[in-house]
Amino acid sequence: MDAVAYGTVELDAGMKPKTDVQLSFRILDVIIRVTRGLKLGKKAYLFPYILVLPAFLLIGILALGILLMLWRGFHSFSPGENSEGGLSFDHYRELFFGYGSSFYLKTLGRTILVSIVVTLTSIMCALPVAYTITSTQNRRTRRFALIMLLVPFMMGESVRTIGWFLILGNNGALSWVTSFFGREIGLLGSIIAIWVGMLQVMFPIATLVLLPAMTKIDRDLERAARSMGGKSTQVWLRIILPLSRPGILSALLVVLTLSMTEFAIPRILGQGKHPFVANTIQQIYFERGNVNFGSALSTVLLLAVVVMVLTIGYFGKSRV
Amino acid sequence: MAFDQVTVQLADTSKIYGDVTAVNSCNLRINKGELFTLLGPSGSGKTTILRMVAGLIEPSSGRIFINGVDLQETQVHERDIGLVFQSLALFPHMSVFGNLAFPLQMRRVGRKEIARKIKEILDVVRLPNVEDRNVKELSGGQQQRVALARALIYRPSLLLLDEPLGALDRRLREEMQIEIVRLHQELDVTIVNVTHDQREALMLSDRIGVMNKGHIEQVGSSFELYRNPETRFVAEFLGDANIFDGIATFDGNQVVMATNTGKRLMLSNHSDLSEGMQIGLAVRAECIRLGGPTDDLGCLNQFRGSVSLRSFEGSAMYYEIIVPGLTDRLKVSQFSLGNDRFERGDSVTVGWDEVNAPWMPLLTER
Repeated sequence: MDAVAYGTVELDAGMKPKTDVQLSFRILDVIIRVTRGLKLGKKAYLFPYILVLPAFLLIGILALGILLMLWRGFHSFSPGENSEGGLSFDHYRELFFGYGSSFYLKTLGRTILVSIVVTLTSIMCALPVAYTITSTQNRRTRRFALIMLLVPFMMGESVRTIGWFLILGNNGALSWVTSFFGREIGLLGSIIAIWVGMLQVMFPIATLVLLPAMTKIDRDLERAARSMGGKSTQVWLRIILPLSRPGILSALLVVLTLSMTEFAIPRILGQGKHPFVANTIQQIYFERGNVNFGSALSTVLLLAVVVMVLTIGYFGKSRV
Repeated sequence: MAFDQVTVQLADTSKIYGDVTAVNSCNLRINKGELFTLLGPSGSGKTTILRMVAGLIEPSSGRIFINGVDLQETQVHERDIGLVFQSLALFPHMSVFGNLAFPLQMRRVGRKEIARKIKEILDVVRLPNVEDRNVKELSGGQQQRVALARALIYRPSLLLLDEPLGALDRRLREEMQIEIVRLHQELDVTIVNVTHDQREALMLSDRIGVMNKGHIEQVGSSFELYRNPETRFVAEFLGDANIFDGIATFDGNQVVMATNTGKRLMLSNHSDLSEGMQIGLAVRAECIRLGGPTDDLGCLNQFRGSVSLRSFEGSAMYYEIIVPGLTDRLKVSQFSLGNDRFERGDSVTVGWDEVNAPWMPLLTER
């Protein structure tokens, strides 16, 4: 308020409204007078809310979309007229008990299982890397490791996935290497290919999420444990892992949710033979054009993710 | 020297970090059952030595023996060493019991035995019935005791203290110092303590090694170091000393030092002194007597001067005296009781007995 008032005083005193005053200044003057009239000073507590307004808008739109998705999922759909019908549980009945239910349930199960395996393996890989980065004294080594971690983020997921496509494909690098051992192995189109591809994407993310928690661990604790007779494995299990707990929990949440909604990797590296829920949703939306059924499946995926997140949150909290 | 009398031995041990020589070929013997203190300013290499002895860092060259065995031939976890860190390094995710049980679990001690030993060691450090408490709930002094208990619970023959008292306030620090002396007497353990606090070092130690810039300057008992510093650094680091530089000359039977400022100071006779030797003379602040401008103090070294500063320090009264031709800042410390008659600007007589002023060769600026 003070700053605003000061501005006007200067305008009033120094440059009395003359015609040669720049338009922008006159507009500013008007704005100042108007805002002064609004007595914003007394409403200063509103200011932080105004700052977060864009964020609220974005999230609001997202929430609207989710509500719309929920709404659509509970309404029937007639393919012939391509129009929405009345309130019904038809889609959920079809998903869980209908003719193709075994396919949908299998897809959901595969998504959950592979996501869990990817999450656990990427955290297992990320732990020693994050630990090394935080404990190294050499600044150059640390910077190099961080850059190596960030490089994958500079190219899109699809580019990296295509890279794996070339490696794992039937005439790719892997089969070329294994051909020297008498067998050409092409992993493309297998669950293992999906796992490798996802691991490569998720592992740097897990490492980055782990870093702040690991930095907080006092290195003297590890030295103390070693001086008291702790071997490396014992020091890891008893000291480093328990103290990395907050970081491991966040990494679990981030990697699991990202994996559950993975789309490109199962499509490209799995060759569509092992679809994830996201692939099936895409297929229902765009190939069958059944928006309502797709919404129902999306709701199921959302629910599955929420349940897993809540479970992790519950067990993560209970032992602190 | 027989090895069974030596617990720790450093042989030409050095540690170099890049361009920095943290420890420069140190030789040191620490005897069995001793309370030894490494004393020095920060960055003098004392913690580096301690960590090398603990096996947490490897020497760049030279060797370290513990009980006659080369450190490099053993793994950290095989060594019989207790270590207390400056940060204490208590495990924040464990209770006091968990912290104390850790070293025993690493040694595969049975569950009942662990409980018994924990009770026993908590009695030793006088902190009973805190097993179930979280370490974060304990006060600073209690945490110190838990850290000591954790390092002692497996009865190591060597206990290393990496300035664990540094962060405590004075009263608590003194309490813990007495505690350490008591534990040392009760448990018959060799203790190597690291500190930058000369008072702590003088109070606690059987012997002290004074360190400066990666060197061990002098090793000896508190009394030896204080009364007969061998180097200028030791003289300056322990207590308040006035140091004069000059050349030794013989005047009949009397040894005299001609200071660089042109004064003649009487020295106590010493067979090691030779004509023309460059030496430094250390006169402790509390060894200097103070009298009125016309008083005769009965000392061979006696000068007139004037008070430039007076400061009351509780038990002591601290003066700085300008002595023309000698120094413009002679530090004098007197009992405060009855010694407040001189004010700033007063003329005084200062003097000291030559036997109270040790000299050292002046090749000491490293």
